[in-house]
Amino acid sequence: MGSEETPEELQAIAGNSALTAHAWLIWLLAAATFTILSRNPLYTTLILLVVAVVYHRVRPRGAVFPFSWLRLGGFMLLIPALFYALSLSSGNTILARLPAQWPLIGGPITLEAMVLGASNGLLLFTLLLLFATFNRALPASELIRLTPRALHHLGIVVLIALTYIPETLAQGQRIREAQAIRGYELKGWRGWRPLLLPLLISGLERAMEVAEAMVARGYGSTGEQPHSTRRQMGMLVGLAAAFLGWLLILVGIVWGWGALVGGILWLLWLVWRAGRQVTFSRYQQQTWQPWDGVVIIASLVPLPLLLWLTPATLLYIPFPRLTLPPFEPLWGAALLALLTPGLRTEE
Amino acid sequence: MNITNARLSTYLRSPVWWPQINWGRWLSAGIYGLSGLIGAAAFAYPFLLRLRGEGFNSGLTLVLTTGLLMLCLLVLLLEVQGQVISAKVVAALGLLVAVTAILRFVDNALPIPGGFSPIFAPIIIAGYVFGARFGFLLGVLSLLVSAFVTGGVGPWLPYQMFTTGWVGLTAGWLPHPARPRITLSMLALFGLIWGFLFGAIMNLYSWPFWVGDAALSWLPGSDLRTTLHHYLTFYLVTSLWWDLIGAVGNLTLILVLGQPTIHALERFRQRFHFVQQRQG
Repeated sequence: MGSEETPEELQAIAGNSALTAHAWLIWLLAAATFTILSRNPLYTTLILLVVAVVYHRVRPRGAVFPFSWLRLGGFMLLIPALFYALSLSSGNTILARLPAQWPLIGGPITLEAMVLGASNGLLLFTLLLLFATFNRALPASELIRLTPRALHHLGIVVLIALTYIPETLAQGQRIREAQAIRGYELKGWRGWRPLLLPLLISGLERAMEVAEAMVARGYGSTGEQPHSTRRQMGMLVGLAAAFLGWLLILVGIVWGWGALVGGILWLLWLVWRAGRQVTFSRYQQQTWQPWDGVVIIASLVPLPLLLWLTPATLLYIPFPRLTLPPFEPLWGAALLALLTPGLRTEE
Repeated sequence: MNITNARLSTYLRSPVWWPQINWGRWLSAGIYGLSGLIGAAAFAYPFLLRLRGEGFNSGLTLVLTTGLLMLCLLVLLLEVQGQVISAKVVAALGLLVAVTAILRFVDNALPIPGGFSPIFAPIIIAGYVFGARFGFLLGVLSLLVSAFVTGGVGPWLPYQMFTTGWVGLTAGWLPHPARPRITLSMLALFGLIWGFLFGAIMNLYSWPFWVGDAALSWLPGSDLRTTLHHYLTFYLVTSLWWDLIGAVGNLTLILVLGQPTIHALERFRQRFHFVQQRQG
């Protein structure tokens, strides 16, 4: 972003030309779910390539990952492969043998164990790149938009924290310089005291000023909503239903799905209702564009297929002898829909 | 039937033999209790899966458990926020979250050995001084904000938020002895214990996916005793040294910086709780 850009251009970059935070969230949740549920190196590689394309196409507006992706990817594939090879003795293709009396690592080193390790490493790396793309695409201020409206107080806390992080860092630097002028050197654990305590106290003093400014601007002037007994009762019932459903699913009872889905929908409705009672205004509005709808629909396209396909098509276990993982072309094609956020160039 | 809260409340209290119960408080306690139970069950699901045996679908279970934990966190935050939060508490929480998030940034940027992270000491001390609710919110929001800043948003985040929330929550439940030395020793010991507990709890959700030596792995269909034994062995072999460094780090940080930090926070607590009395 060059310094010659006008406020209008900055506004366009920040608010109008990019996808909304909600569209990104649905894309992220869909891609993460598909990655976790289809544990097969061929599908994982396909998702990784798709996410890598989106990562490079998206305009960096949020936190940028500070390491080299190639180096990290190599590390994340190699280390689990070695670890699994040393600790797991299953598999028919024996590459080498370590003395059996060696604790934990003794026994045969098999190709199947290495492939399983590398496959798990690939899965983790794909998830990491996926979340890194999400972090890269959205600045912290956009992430705040994902806070449910019902949690507006906590949204303000997060906003204050994000706003004051650079200020607190600068304050820390000022205190450090002041201590250095007095000839103080940062040494050992106790050396941090003269830096951290003034930082904490000045931060809390600023909190008092922020609170006074908030009250002066009318924060809390509408009065707190009375503690809703009905809402609390509803939340308790919803939580209990969702929990019961989850437990029943864990022990293999199909009826659990009904209780889980019912509980979740009921709780989400309560949160939505609580949010409707909150009135607030935004300084910068972000408008939904047709492209947001396209991305959301494209992200959800593979979902029905996922429910229809059998685990044997989706999952891959390299034991007892290494074979080629199964590949369902229809599922592969459906995963390509996740490319959508990277198809349009942001201006 | 459209009954308002006031009418419902009056109805519940109407019989003369019915004791004057604060329903809001009991329901609130119920939500806290059930959320704690769900959180504990979500972490301990490897021990609950023994009935499922071979039918275990690891991916689906992880998605469902993470979803349930996020939902539970949402309800818990809504309930915590439903009680009165003043502008002073909001601002103080925001600033303390900023300081803790910076400490997490330092933790990521510097080669700090083992599992030591400087974020736990301020969460423990603030939870102890400002109370359980404040400690819980500080723990949860510190992890959330630091994840935004350091790019650490991932499927592990709800688990980290929940566990760190528990650190702050339980710190608020500690007794307040009169002698400062006892307070400091108590908090240091508390930090030491949580150093191990945090690692042991956070390992749980990913343990069923770990494939390695059979004596350390989660085995479908095993009884509770075998599962506990395997997990304990797994923890001792893979995590004990890592967490030991974290626990000793917490202890040292609280012993070195605890006393003046407690003094500073206590002074501000009095200012934050200042309220103007109405005349007449």
